[in-house]
Amino acid sequence: MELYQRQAINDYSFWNNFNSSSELLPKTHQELMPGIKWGCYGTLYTPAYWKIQYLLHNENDDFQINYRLGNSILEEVIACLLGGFGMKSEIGLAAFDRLIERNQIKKGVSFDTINASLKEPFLINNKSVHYRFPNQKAKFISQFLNRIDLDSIPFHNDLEFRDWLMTVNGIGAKTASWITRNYLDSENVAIVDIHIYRVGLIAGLFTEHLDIQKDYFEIESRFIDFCKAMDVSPSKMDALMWLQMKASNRTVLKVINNL
Amino acid sequence: MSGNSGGGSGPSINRPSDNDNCNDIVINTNLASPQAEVLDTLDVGDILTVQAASDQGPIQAFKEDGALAGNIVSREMIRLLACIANGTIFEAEVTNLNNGQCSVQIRAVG
Repeated sequence: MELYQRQAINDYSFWNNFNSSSELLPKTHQELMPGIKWGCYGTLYTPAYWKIQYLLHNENDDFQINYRLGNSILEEVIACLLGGFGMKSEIGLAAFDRLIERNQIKKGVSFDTINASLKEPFLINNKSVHYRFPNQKAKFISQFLNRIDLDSIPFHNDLEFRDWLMTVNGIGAKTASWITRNYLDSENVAIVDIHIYRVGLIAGLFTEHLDIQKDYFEIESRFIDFCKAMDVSPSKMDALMWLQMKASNRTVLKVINNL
Repeated sequence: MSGNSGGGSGPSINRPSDNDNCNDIVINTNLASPQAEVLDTLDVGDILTVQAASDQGPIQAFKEDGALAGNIVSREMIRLLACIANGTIFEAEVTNLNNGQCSVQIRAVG
C-alpha cells in the first residue's frame, strides 16, 4: 500500500531521541506531586498525557505562540480593555483598529474623544454593529491614558509589572497576567481561565471550592508548581492545554461530571 | 475577543496540518509501550487495527489475532479520538521495525 506523505502529521522524530519508550514515558502510578500521580500517558488530561503532548509539540512544532495584539504597552492594555464581557472578538478588534487609525492611543486623550469613536457604528461583515458599553470602556481607556505614572511602568520586574497592571481600572488578574506574559516573556505568571482551571480540577491539583476570580493567585501558584514538577515551561504548557481543552470541550465536561 | 485573556484571542501553535476531515488524517509515529513478543511477529507492511479503549483513550493498535502491539501517541490525539468516536475507522501500517521500536502510519480505512 502506498504511504501517504502529503499533509502527514510526522511524530517519528520525537521517538528518535529515545532508545526505548520506557525511557521516556512517565510511570502511571508514580507520584508527580504529593497526592497527584502521573496517570496513563495515553489517556486524555492526565499529567503524563500533558507531559508527552508538551514533548511532542516541542519536538515538532516551532511552538511560536503569538498572543500579542498591540505594538506598545498602551496599545496592548487598550486592546484588552476593549474586549471581554462576552463581546465578539471582531467588534473588540474593530474598535481597537479604529482608535489606532485615528491616532487616539496616546497619552492624554480625553473621555469624549474615545467615547465618540466607540459610539460610531462598526461595519463588520457588511453589517452595522454597535459597540457595547462605550461609556464604560471610554472611561477606563481615558483614565488609563491620563495616568501620571505611564513613564514609570515597572518593566524591570514581572510581578511588579503585573501588580501595576492590576491598578488599571478594568484589568483583572487574568488579563494582567496575559499582558505580563507577552511583554516580559514571564514564566512566573500563568494565564488561568476556565480551560486551565479544568485541567487542574481533572488532575486533582485543585478542588471546586477554589474560585478563578477570588483565588486566582492560589490557583496560579499551584499551576506553576505543577509545571515545575513536570519540568515544562508554564507559558508553553498553558497555551497547549488551552488549545486542547477548548478543542475537546465536550469530553472535558463529561470527565468533570464524573469526578 | 474571547479566549485566553480578557482581551486577547487564544494562542495558536503552528502545525503542519490543520485538516478537520477525519478521512484525511495521516499520522506517522512509533508505537508507545510496544509489546516485544508481538513485534517479533510483525513485518513491514502489516496492517494493525486501531481502537480507542474509551473516548479519553488510550488508542491501541492490535494485530489481526487481537494481540496488543502497542499504544498510539500523537500530537493529534484529541482529533483522532473525536474521529474514532464519530465512527471513522483507522488502521496502522507498519512502516519500520528497528531496535524494539515499531513505526506506523495511521490513516482512515476506505
